[in-house]
Amino acid sequence: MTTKILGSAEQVKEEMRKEKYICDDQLAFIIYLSFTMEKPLLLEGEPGVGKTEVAKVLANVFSRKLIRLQCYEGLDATTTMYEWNYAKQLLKIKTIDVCSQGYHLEDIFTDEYLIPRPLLTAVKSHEKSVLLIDEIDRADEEFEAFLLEILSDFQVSIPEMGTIKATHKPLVIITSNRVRELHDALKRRCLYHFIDYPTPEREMEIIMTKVPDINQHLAKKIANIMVQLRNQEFYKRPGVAETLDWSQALTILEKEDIDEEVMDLTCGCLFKFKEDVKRFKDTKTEVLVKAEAGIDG
Amino acid sequence: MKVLITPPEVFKRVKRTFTEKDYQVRAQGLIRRILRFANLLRKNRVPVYTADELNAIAVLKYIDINNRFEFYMALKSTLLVSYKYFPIFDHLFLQFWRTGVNIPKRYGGDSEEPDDEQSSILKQSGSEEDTTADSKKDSKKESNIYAETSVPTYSLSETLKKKDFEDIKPHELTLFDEIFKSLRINVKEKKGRRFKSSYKGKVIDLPRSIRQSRQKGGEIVKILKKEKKPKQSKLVLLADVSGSMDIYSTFLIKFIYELQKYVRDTETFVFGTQLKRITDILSYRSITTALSMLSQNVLFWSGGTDIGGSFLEFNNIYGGKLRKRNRILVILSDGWDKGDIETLKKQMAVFKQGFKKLIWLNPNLKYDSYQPLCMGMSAAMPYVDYFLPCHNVNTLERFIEIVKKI
Repeated sequence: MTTKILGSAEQVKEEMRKEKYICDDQLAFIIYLSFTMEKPLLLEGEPGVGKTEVAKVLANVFSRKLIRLQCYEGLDATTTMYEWNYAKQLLKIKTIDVCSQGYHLEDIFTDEYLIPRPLLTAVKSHEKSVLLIDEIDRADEEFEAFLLEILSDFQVSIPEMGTIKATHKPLVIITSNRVRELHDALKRRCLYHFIDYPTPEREMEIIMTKVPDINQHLAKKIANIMVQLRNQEFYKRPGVAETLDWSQALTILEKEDIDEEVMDLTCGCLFKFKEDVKRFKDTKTEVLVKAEAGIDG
Repeated sequence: MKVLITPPEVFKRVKRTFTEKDYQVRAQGLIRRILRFANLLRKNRVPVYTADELNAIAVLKYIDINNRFEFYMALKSTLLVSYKYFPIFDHLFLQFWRTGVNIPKRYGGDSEEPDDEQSSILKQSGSEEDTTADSKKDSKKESNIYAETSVPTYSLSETLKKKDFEDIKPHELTLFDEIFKSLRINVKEKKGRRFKSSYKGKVIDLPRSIRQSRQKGGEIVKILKKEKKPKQSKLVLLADVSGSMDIYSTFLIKFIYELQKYVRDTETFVFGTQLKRITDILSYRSITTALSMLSQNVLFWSGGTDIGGSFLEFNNIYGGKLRKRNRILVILSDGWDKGDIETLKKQMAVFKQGFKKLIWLNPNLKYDSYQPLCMGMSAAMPYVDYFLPCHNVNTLERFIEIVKKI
């Protein structure tokens, strides 16, 4: 597999558009910098603005393998970096015992007995890959320390074997939902970008790309309504993912236009909390009027 | 780097060829300027590390530095570590680099509408730039090409401290929170009468020295010292959150939040038409949680005022426990009162008897000609020991100084 070489941010934008990801100039430029400088990229932003999607799309763009590490509380080195295959090691020791040969400890600490986990896989990979460390803020703070070595030097130290250094540096994408503040040491090793909610024009483009069956007028209206909704105080504001769900729902219902009744029917696509749904229902008329004014204006 | 640092239009107009050395000088000049910019960010309490600076310089290799958008994005992505600092970064970027009318947010045109403030900054800087451009034309000396335009690298936080809370712009808010955090609130300066053991102390602590010597069979091996224990004034805060105090109450609550964190046993109440104890709410570790809890729990925020009634409520419910001679009562209010004046007077008299000192912080005191004419204020005035302004950070600092001395 050969990796595409992209020469400019414009090209990144173009290629990502082909993979149905509409990104703005800022994001395109940051991605371009990240792979030319071979530095990890830390993406923050509200939920559902397409942080994880960036990595998936990039893997497609570069035709690289995507190695994904989903973070969760209690994640530790054995599940992320490597683990020794203890069963196999024990069997080996047993065999040597039975055959009454002498054995050295080094014999059972070789590549053969090593189970690589995502991080080691990315480092050992024989071709360039995309490493996605998803929702790092869910992992414990201690876990960030494991990452420091990989992020700055692209290497993993295994006490029994030595250091494994990446021959092909992976493109590392880290996403965070800002559940907690990340440590500065980690941030320092990365390029930082904050993905904001898209502008209505861009959101409309996203809807048109992802839900091709939708008509343009409806897409525009949805985008305008989303802007209005995001200006309001909700416990959880709807992201782009919710927009797409909603657009999908409206096309399935074969609706040509949005009115209050449709909004009531489909509010489950946008809001997932009882209080939010209630507030949405209270303010829907106002939102609808403003959104329509936005289209005409 | 040579290919990338191609001279922009300005340099092309100067009719001479550029040598390798010129490029080097330019590159060095640019690096120096970036370092100065990083320093400016630091001065404004944006955390920038040496590693970030190295990144920012390394990144120059890969971008077209004549492209404003790329340059802006490159610095932003390498120097910053949190979205919190985006507004202040934008502000300083404009001030320092003077790259154009507004922040380049995309390739080609400017997407952002210039807001008033940005354009006003540029009006100022624009005129300066014109003069420097003129001087370049006049002298036409080669050395002038590299001459840097002078850039104000003062710290924003210094000016912010003097700024009235009324005039704080949204982009300055983050900086503000940092300032509040860094206020050295320490009221333990005054020495009390009691002693505590200390290595630095000058007075010999005989009892302890002798007790210590008993372990060694009566031989005094070490002479132990003591010093006077700092005495802490405890605070009781009554903050007015009625409509007339609207602009100030958010800032003052933030200040109180910090105060309560550092001064032990501080009790905080807010009042408007009623009184509410918010000590527990403000003891949340995150200020955002505290503020949102506050908005949920205090229902009379930005309402009317009944100072006398609230004070009566305070004295009835909490007075017995909190009115002590080792406590200082601090009232934050502008004195606009719609309640009964007689009640207020009575309650103030009770306060005067019960508390050690009474401090009244009034934001309206910023006007030189201010007279405590409104009914509430004039009724309370005779009982107040210190009458102080509280419209900016400097005045709040002064308030802390005074508390220290009491």
